[in-house]
Amino acid sequence: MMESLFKTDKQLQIIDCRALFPPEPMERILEAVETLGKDQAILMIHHKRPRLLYVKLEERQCASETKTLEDGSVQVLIWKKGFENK
Amino acid sequence: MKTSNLSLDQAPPEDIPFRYLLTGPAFGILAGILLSVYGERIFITAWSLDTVALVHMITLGWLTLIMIGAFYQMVPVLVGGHVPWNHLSRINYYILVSGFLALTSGFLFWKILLLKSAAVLLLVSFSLFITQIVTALFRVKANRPVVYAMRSSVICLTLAVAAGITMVGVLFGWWGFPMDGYSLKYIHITFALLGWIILLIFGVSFHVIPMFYLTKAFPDRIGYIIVTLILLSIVSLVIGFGMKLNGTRLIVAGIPAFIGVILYVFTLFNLIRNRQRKMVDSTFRFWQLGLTCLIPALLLLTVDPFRWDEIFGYLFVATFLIGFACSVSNGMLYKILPFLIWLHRFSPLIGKIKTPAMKDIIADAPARRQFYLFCLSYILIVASCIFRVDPLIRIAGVSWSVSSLILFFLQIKAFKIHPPEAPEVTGMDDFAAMFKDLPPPPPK
Repeated sequence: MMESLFKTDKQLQIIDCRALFPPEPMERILEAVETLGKDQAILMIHHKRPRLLYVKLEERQCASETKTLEDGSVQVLIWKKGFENK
Repeated sequence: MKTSNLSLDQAPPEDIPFRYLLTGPAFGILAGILLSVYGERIFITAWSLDTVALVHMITLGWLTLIMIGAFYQMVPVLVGGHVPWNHLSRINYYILVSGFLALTSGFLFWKILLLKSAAVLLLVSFSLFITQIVTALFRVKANRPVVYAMRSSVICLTLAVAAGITMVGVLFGWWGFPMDGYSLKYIHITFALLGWIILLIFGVSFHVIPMFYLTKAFPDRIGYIIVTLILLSIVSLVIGFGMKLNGTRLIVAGIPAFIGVILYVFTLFNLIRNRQRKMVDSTFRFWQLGLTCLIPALLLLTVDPFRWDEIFGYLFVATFLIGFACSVSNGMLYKILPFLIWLHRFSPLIGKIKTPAMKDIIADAPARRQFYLFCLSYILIVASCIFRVDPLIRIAGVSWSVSSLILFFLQIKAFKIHPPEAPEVTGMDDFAAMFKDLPPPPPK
């Protein structure tokens, strides 16, 4: 399992989407977002920037930050808006 | 923590790409019917009006409609470009389809009025489409091979349309042009096939093959080299046709494109051979067929300029247009359409209802059967080019028609899938009715 590139005090739910066919990554993340608590965050690991997902996260009042690795894969940290790190 | 830069949802309303994508296979049905009705008449000469009509039914009706649908969808989503005047894309669909029908029927029945109408309709509709896409593509700062390929492709479309309409204008004496019909015709074909069709398919595949088949990314540097090599050949060939160079020199002009195509095919085969999950579905099979046909198609083209026999020209058209371009676009419809239906109609409902998977929207089994029928049609068409036996040609036409009909039917069936209605909100009367059987509260 890849290590998180983010420092967060939230409880992390790691979802590795690198071996999933579209649209399964979006489906898995949006399902997880439905039960996301204020002290929790999702760490999505994906092989590229999930462009379409960002719009869907915005619609669901979620914020995100993306970091790209050297091999082009990305880590996306997702949390509910208004519940940023302390 | 900070929020990443969010791109606004620029995807067009679903009906815009759908109307173009759904209509493409309908022209495949018409092309098959034309082949089955006209039989060996199609093979009298490659430049007969019937043959030209059939070719345009495939290049404009099938391929260009699907490619325009793909442009409207992918330029905002893939490239981040804002396509202006989205609402006009709906009206433009009717102008474009009317133009295609007028052009093909004008050729078939040699009706001057239809051809003149086609020239006007196509000029209007392509001008609008090209203006929309050029505005969107050249405003974005993204500088990836897919953008380079799309920009080059739409410029080639502009020049192919300009050459085509110039030919119609010269034919009817609307204007003169300092170039003979032979050169203009081949310049039109070079821009259309090598520029518009190949560059767009290549460019889109740089992005969608890694996405749908979980391969490594298509190397950017190789992508740039491929597109540049093809552009180099396009320019050389156009100059060559303009100067009426002989067959050998034209082949030399085509060498960079040939190297580019070989590089593309080998890179893509290598990527899909090493893909993360070895899934084989109908789209994958169509891609395999398309890539397998591409190099033989170009080899056939190298024979054509020597004019030994028209058979090579016919075989090139069959192998390139049906074996490669129609095959790949047919396959992509099985991915793009279910994905768009899922994205537009079901993704907002995740977590609320059980959403269907892509394979529930268009199942792979009927798509696979359509693939086999497509292969049979392709083999029959190639055999028709070689043997030119009337019944064989007609059977090939029926087979191609049925194959396109199945694709059309599967798409329509998918298009009709809608999410279930949301449960009605319980009103106050219903709320009260829930408690009607409860015993009354005890007196205080």
